[in-house]
Amino acid sequence: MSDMHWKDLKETDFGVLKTLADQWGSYIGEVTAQAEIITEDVVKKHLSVENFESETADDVRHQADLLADSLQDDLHEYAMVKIKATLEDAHDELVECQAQLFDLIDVVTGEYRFEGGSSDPYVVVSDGHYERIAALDVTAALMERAGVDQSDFASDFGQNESRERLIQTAETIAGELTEVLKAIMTRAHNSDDEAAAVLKSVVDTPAEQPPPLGATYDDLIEEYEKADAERNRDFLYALASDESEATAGGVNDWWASLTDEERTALIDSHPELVGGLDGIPSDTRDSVNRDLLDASIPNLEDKISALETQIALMEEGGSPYGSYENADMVELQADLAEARARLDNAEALQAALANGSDSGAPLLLVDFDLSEDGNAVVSVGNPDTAEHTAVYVPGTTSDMQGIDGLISDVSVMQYDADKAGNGETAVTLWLDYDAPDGAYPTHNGGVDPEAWHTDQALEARSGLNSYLEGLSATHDGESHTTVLGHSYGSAVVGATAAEYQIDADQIIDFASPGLMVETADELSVGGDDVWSTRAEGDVINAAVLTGALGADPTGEYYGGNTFDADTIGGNSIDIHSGYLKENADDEPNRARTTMAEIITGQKD
Amino acid sequence: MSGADVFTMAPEKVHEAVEVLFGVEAEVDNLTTGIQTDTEGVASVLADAQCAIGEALKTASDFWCVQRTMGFTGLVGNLGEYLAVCAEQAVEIDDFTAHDFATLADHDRYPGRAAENASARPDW
Repeated sequence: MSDMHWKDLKETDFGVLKTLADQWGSYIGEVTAQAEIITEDVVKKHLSVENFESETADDVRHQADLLADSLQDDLHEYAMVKIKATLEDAHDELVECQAQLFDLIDVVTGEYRFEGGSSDPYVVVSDGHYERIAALDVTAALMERAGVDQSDFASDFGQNESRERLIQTAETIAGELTEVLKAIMTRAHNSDDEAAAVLKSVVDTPAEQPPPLGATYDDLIEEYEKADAERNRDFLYALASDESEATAGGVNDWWASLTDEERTALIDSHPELVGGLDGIPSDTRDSVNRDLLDASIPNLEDKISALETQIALMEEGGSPYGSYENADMVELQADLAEARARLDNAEALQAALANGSDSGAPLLLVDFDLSEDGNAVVSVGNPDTAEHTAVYVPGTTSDMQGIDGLISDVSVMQYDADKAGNGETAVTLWLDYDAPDGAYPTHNGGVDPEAWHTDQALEARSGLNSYLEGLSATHDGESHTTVLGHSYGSAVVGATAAEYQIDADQIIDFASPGLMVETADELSVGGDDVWSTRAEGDVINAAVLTGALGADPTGEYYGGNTFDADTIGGNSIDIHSGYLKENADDEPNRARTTMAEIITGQKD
Repeated sequence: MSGADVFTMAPEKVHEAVEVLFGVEAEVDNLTTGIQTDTEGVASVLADAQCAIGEALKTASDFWCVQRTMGFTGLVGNLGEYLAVCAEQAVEIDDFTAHDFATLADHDRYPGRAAENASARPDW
């Protein structure tokens, strides 16, 4: 436990932590190079199959690979994450605490002094300050705070009363400074203790290292590989849990550190966790998720068939049968309805994927969930390799039954962007939230439609932020990312960008009821990179006027950029859904043209 | 996997692999000694300042430098010694014992090297 005294915080050069972190960084790089020498020079070169071929040679090469892998895993887990990163974090915190202490020392110098031990520091009025108060030689600030005026010194009585008030005020200030000192020291102790806890945790249940060559090696290596696989599985579970604090970037680092065999083993054993994890490359998730989707359909059909049979038997005989013998009819009917809804969602998604994109670019099934209204993240083009990436969040009534149309929408955007040139573009449909079911005041039999509320946008924030962070981590090299929202989807985008420093360069909103902020500068991409449009006659104008989801993004004082949108559609509702449709009489759709320019970085 | 009946080996290449492995073993030991010394210095400064991180840093450094890294270099040395024996005489992995490197390896090629890693495994 930290016993750091305020004098220690003042006098210690915490720069040694940063210097040491840098030394660990160099060390990690140099030792990693040694691990690579084993792989490249020993396994691939000197001990290549041409030079050494037998079962023993295979085992030796395998052992050498295991040694290199385990060293690199160790370097990442212990040296990088637990030692180097902890030293850096502790340095940043303690230097900040030290700076606060120096500021406090500047304030108190000459008038107050620090006392007490590491656990109970406090500030008292200095002897010199008491003497100056006795001589009524004090600062104007103290006199003002004490409510004392120069004219009070005219009489002995006034001088004595002033001294008492000045002393009382000085001691009150000492009490206030004590609270500041305690807060600084508490923060310093906490950061010291937290860093110490992480450093000490390196000895907690360390992973096994590969066994040495010798007697019983065959048995030991089998046990080692089994334990290693279990460790990877446990880590995958931890990353996928709701309690996980790992970032998508951390997931990507971990995934990259695994061998091909380890990745394959995890995909085989837990495809549902791999397919849903932000930070894993999009093409891997696509492959895993397509297999899961394909498997879900016959599984759901079998389940529905079993439930139907069970219900029919119950209806005929009036008594329970089979595996559902403890279930009552209501429960079975609910299970059946849920299974049918899931099957409908699965079939809708599979059909949409089979239809492909309008632009001909490949579709990647990045994520999906068949429950309730159904969710899916589908990319037109590979977002990890495209030069420009756009993430589109659709709005009210979006669900799996409309997935085909939603994929068509992103296909249009992807086609437009590709046509605009300036490099390859991928556009992702991000429907990984519970979009409102209604926007009109007939929902729930009253005047309270879901789309007038912020709840679903707020719920969606962490998921969208995680996806964008994952995209940044999985992208090859520098990425240029635009996040778009239509209608309520723009409220999701805005709420996310207001809460997080999102991994996107710019925001486009169209047909927006508001982005849940009052000005564009509240969005983490900055007001200069927010682009908004709304067509004349769009029904969303009614929602904008309520201000329920924030200020009008096309308004004069919003602070972002606006661009033109044509009115496409015969009535206000059709206009709301017409932004991505073809314009009449072969006229260009100005909103689409501008969005393509923004997405491809050609609009300043 | 290669077939059980297949066995080809270029002894010189195997010796070169051994030299690389012994080189890695020595270099990692050397680098680790350096970082351990640097870390102990900082840990001492922080411990003197009553910081909990001082003692914890020493614990972490000892664990890394002594347990993990020495474990790794020991395994690299063990692999090198096994290969040094293989270059001279066929020995099954499960039959490799403490004395094999000392008795069978070409010590002119690896002067001054004791069989410390092989001896880490008993003659079971």
